[in-house]
Amino acid sequence: MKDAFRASMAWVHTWAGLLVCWVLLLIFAAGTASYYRNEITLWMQPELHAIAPSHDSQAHMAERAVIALQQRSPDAKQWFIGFPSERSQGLQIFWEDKLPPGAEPTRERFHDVMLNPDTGLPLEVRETKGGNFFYRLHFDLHYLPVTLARWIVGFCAMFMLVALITGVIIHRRIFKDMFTFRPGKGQRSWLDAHNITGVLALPYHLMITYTGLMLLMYLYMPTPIVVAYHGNNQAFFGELFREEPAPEPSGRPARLTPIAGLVTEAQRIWQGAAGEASVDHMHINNPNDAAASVSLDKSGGAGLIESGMSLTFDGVSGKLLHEVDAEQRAVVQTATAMRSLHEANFAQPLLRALFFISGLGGCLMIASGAVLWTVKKRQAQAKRLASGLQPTWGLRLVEALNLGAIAGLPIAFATFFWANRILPVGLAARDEWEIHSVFIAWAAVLLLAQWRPGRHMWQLMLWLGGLMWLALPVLNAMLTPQSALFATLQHGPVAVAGFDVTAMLLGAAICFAAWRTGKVPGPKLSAQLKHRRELAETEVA
Amino acid sequence: MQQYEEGLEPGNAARVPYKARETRNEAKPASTGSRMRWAVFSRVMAAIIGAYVLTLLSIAVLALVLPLSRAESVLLSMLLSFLIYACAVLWVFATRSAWRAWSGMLLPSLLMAAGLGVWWSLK
Repeated sequence: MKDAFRASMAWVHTWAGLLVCWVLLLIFAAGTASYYRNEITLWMQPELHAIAPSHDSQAHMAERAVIALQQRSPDAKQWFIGFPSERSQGLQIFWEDKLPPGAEPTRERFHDVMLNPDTGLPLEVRETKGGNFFYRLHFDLHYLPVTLARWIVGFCAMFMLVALITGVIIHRRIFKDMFTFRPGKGQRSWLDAHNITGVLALPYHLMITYTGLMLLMYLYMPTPIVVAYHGNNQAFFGELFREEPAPEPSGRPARLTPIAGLVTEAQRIWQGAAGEASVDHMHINNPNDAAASVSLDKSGGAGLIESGMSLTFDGVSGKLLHEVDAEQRAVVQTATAMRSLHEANFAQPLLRALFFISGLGGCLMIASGAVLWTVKKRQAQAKRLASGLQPTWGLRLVEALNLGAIAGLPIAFATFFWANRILPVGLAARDEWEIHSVFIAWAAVLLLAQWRPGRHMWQLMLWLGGLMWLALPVLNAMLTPQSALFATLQHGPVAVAGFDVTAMLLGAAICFAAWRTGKVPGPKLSAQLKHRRELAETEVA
Repeated sequence: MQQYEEGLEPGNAARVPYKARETRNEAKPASTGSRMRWAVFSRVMAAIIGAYVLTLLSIAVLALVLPLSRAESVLLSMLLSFLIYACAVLWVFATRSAWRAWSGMLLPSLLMAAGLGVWWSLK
């Protein structure tokens, strides 16, 4: 009875894992990169590296941002100001145009400019999506309608959850497997690798998968809102986050209240609350209208359940309208904690690095699981292969997809950074071309893999990917000398130096994989060698 | 059904690891193989669609009966949804036959749908 249960769970684990492993690998890799999305963005904007962090007060910065916004779009629907933080040094302004009645909402109505926080002048920065590309990629994919993409991602994530749970069930010795690795033994080694990467970071994998699904649960699991709120999502969110709906513009012009005063007021109110009494960002709805309102937000601090706080002021009189305190309701705190766990916003550098490493472990778990399937299949077809027949089309397909997806991934991601430094700064739609080059590179590897899915191609692609990563700091030093590693190690920004070092470590690891791929002549031969060695040893003895 | 040996009854297909099934396929007439393939397919559908419907309905009921504020009940039931879904999927593959898998998904779903219908009309 128990064995039958285990057997069926093993079946589910194998197929649930295999069917979605390539998309999962993409999601995991892009999600892992997103832990450092601000750092990646900074690396990709070398124009910002020379700017020293500003020590000016937030009130002054807010004033400068408002002047810049008044110049650019006095009758916007809303303005947004993002203050510099530890992980992003520019002063960000963002505005949304009013939508003419009856018009379809498009992405073109959003505008985004980075300002020098000390002068309020725009920073001349090359066009790039930066780390946000990876962030979007890990749940919106690319080239696909957003809703469709999110359903695909959710489908794969649900498979992942099932694969994780069944993976635990079929394990007999979960603790022992944490310390078991027998390299150079073909199928055994791949199973060990899959087990180690899976089991060591198992709580992380379960957590990240479940909380990831949770972030899009409004899309996947809509029935509670349907029965309790007649499907009105806005009503639900309003009640949940205790938000007042933003008022409609009145159409009567009015002078905006001085913003600097509101910033100091917010800092005074939040004094003594957890974390620093600083504002993270602010929204101004209906600027220069009689119905204007200003919201100042502070995100959760270093704690898991510290949800954000927010203050809303009347945009004309400057009177405090509405205050949202730290959250007290247990269920909402749970949801907040799950969200923070997924996004790691609370994580200090060391913890963030651990999340990053666990994420890499997840990529390795997925990749080794995918390879394990083909190794097992090859063994099952050993007789057939020995008689000179080709592997079945299913095995060949999976082998080629594995090669293309796994060895292609480092190449594709590295291409993104190469394109960032190589594409001319003035190129039209430059940021889009950075992204196109990722997928062009990946498509090329996938095609090569379909053509010759063998050990040599693995080796070649891994060497290529590894060297591309290893050479990134060199490319950086050659094309943007002021951001070279020896410069950033001395004068900062630390994030840029950290990127270069991480790129080299990743490159070295991939090169090591390439070298191993060339060295191990296959399970059979290595077993023979071992046998011979043992024979030799006994003879000596 | 009794003339089939254990594990060859269509519903039992998913309980046999795929390797074992492949070897048996070769030995048995093709019709048995295709029957098993259908049983596996049926179970996969019960897991993907049947369990999803069951989850959607149970969290709808949960959102109405939880003794919390409206927003919190809705939030909690959504938070639990993926756990319910995952358990339902595992049960579909662990149970004795595809028929049982389907009825285990559909009977409670029908009950809950009826309950929700009554609640809706009373409101």
